Amino acid sequence: MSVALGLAMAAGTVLASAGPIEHSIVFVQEPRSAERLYPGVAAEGSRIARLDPGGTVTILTEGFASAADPTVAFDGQSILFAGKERGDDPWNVWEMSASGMDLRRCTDELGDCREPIYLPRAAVDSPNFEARVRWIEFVSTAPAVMNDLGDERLRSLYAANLDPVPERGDVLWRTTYNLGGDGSPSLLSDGRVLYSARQRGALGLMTISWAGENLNPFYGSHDAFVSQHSAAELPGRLVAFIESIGPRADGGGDLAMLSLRRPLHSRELVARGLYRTPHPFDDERMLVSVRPEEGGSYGIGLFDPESREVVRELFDDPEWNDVDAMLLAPREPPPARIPTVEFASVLDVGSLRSVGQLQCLNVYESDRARAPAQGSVARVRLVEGVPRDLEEGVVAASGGADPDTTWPPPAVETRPLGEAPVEEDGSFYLNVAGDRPFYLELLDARGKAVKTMRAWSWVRSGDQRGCIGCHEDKELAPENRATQALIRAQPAMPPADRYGASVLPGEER
Amino acid sequence: MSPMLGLALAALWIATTARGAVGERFDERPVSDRYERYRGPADELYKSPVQLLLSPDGGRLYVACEGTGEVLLIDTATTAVVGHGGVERLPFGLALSPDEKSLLVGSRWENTVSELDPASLESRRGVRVGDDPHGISFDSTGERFFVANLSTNDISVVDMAEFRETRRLPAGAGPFDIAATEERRTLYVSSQYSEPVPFRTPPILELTVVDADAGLIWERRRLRSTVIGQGLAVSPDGRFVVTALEIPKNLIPETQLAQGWMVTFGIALTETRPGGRSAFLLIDEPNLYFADPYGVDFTPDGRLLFISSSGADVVTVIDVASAYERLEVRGGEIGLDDQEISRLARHLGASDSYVLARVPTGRNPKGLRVSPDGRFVYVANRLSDDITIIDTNSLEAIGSIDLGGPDTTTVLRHGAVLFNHASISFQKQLSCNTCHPEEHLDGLSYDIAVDGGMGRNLVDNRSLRGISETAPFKWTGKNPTLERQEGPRAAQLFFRTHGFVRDENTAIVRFIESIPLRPNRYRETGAALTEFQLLGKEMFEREYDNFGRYIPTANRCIGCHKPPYGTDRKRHDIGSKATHDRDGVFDTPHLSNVHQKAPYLHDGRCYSLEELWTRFNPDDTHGVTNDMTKDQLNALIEYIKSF
Repeated sequence: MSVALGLAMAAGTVLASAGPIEHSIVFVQEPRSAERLYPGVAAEGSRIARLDPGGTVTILTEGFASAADPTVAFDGQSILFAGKERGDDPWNVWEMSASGMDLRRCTDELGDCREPIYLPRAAVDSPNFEARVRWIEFVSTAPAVMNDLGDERLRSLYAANLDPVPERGDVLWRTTYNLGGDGSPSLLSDGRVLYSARQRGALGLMTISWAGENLNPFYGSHDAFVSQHSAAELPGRLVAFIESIGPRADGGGDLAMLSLRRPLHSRELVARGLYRTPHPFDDERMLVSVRPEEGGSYGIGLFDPESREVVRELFDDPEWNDVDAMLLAPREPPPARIPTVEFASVLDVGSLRSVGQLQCLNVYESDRARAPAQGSVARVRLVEGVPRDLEEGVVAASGGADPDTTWPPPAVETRPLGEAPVEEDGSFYLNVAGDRPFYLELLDARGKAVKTMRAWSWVRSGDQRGCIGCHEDKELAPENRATQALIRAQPAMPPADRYGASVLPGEER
Repeated sequence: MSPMLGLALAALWIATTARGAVGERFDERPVSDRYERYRGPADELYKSPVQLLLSPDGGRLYVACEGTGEVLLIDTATTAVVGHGGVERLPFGLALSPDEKSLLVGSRWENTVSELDPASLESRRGVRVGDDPHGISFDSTGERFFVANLSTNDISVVDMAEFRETRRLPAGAGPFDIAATEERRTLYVSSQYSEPVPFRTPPILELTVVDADAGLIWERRRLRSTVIGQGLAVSPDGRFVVTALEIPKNLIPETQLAQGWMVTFGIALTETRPGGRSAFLLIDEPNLYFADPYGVDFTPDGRLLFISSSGADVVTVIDVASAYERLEVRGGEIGLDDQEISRLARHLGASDSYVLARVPTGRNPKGLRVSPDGRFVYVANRLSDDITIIDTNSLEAIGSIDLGGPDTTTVLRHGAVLFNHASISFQKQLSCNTCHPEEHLDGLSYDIAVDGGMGRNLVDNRSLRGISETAPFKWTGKNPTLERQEGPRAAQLFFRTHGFVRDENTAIVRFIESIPLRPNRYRETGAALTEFQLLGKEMFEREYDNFGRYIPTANRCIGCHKPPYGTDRKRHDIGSKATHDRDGVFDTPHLSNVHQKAPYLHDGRCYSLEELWTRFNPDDTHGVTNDMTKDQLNALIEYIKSF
């Protein structure tokens, strides 16, 4: 992209413009040479700016040593972002008005908190669920452990209230328990949180409900060393994202799109190059950041999916990477949702608030070439992944194992959570310690593993989760069948809270 | 106390004690809905078009309007409404005689079919048929016609000359629509409800094949694992019949909606050859659903198939050649084996290969018809009082015909819109109507996992007709009001959103409270009980069994099923607790039109009223009945049906 504008100036300074735009745009200016805490996330020393229709650029985060990851509220009146006032502070989530005023810190003592997004107003005040308050989802290193490869601090998604929850004050939920690390959350128009999950070295797109229920793959097989991240829904039921071979340090990569009509089968590479942070514009085009392959800085442009090119360059300051550009405009919030986890007390497992339930209709249903033979599975074993603390994790990762083939990953310890019978028809039903990362092993009658799941899963405490099969075709709806496990109507019960669990400050389990 | 209030209370006391003085008789059917309380002036004026019929030349479009009870005549050339008449309550089915001299319209409320003059729409004569008549079709000669009677599970055969019903053919459960082959020698009848199936097994719809010339059932096809069969169409080449239907997931725990976990929607394609097979195609996508498919029709060249989704305000256009390719159709026969058919019926991504377009319509699209020249599709939008016109070339809506309903939206109308639209649910997977078609029920039992754990506490779906005075709600009786039931509980258990709140919740609750009971064929309005029913009433109220043993009040039928609604609104243990139940205490269901509410018991394990006492009451815990003679038990059931 050619340089269209002059040097960045202090807040309130008028800069040159690439031409009139209809809406203000919020974006991040990232130092070109700075080191990044995590791939794809804006670096230390970044700042947030606003480009107005007249061409004025205003720095909104004066006074912050670093500020990044802006997201605009549904009413277009405020901005959520990650920032640190001093260089040695942890990153926290902040909210400010669209003019950069009315600063308010939203997180505290949760490690580094990045990439916040607004969630639709939702109520958790059982039983009437009337008091809808504002919520956010963000990425945090609060678990204070290493990821399963031992190459970075584990990042997980969290949900927290922005407004006080009546009679409960503050509510904080950890919503993902993947030990590979999670990031770049965005919101789909149906209310799901779309994010990137790192498993076995690569990033793939996953979805959850805002409270961490209904974990499902969205796109990405995890079998290749191809990463997908920075996904955003566009008009026309399209989703744009960045794709690269492995997670590139600066987050740049090819620009790809898929259709919500068939996410698993509609991915198209729409532009090769070094693109970052696609976001919807007010028409069919999208805001992207792009830089030339041969070098230079990232600048902001409008990308037309039809012609598959940047059709208009909006802003580029050669001293900075200009990324994460999004419209400062109102938009329709997705439908909210009452979290299932709020109904933990009605589960038939007594007062075990730390338990979730998991049932599978048929372990023999699989899209894998080497699916277990019918009748070969007798039991299912749940294996918990126990992350190592920060120092231990680095040591464990030094073994040089191939992250794509080694399971469990090198920087994580495992311990069995329990076993449950698999019925003749392939069904099982069990209680599982909630809010714990685990994988499943299918065992034959002699206790030997027939199939091992190579990804981390979890069930939120109080949640109930159903699986159709073991790696079944995700475009298949379930068969309408009362399984033997369901007819038995009694979940097998691996020990619920055998090892205890730490609770973060302010976190509800 | 004011004198007026005192008089009113005195009158109430007299009325109450008078009722008690005649042995708690409740001969008059009580008011069971709050329509009169909530209705606004405009509520009587909504047209609510539901079914369409085109004349063979395509020049006249007849519209059955269930709101005003009219049949409208539209000149398709000018798109003007040029006539109206045939006022009946809840008109539905329409049929034009082969000579085009007679127009038939059925009344779902009056249980009649009327003959109208096709030009003036003046009524000529009427005939009583079975209950809740839906689809109507003539035979090839026009000498007789057939009527699908939803509530009596049969098909009326009516002689046109005498305008007299000559025969009843037993159909599937809830016969809905009738489609005829081009020469009208074979008729196909869809079923809304499943035939009785073993407990906790998938529902099965019957597709009834009628030899129209002989006036006899020719074949009964079974559409496995489907329910709510509604619109029907026969392909122009006569090789397939298409049924709009639902592919439910009621047997698995409702832990989520994603991935078609609660319900999916599609069509059945059934080979018309004798003994032909059926296959199923979903119209949904992996992340979006097209709830409540209703009307279907082919273009005359058989190239396109149109399906209205009444819960999504969309008409789906299917490329028939692509659909056939997916089914590997060769020579009119489906090439897929049974396993492949079963898998395809679950495949949410398959629609990408045969769905050509999704055309937005007005609100709540129901019946649709393709013009004889194949250029246009007309769609009856029940809750926006208009007709959408779709161009079959561009596959876009090119106009609409305003039928002249009120411009205002009353609270009840708002409630009807909310009830019928799936936008309330995650990914628009279901509306209230999905499980309560025609404000009634789907005849299925559900595993509502959150309510007690997966595989436990199965619950039979319950009708929404006439329930305003029967609180509490749910089989557990936990919900004291409909506000609670339709608000956060429905949101959490079914919709997986935030559900109806504030004004929306008020509107949906008032709408549901305004749903009336349908007339009871076991006791016409104002009619006295028959002798047999009176015997049953004695059984219902008796104090001693046949051996002279005293029956405690709590173990008499009337002990719990108290007048006037047949419920004491309390929870009781009648010994129906199953191994999958956490608790054995359940809400006492009201008895109004109980004959229309199979299956029975809280979990739906009982197929018929008879079975309640012949199979599921071995220890006289659900009333003392085991001493009864066969005649006494039959009389008791006949009386219960009269509520």
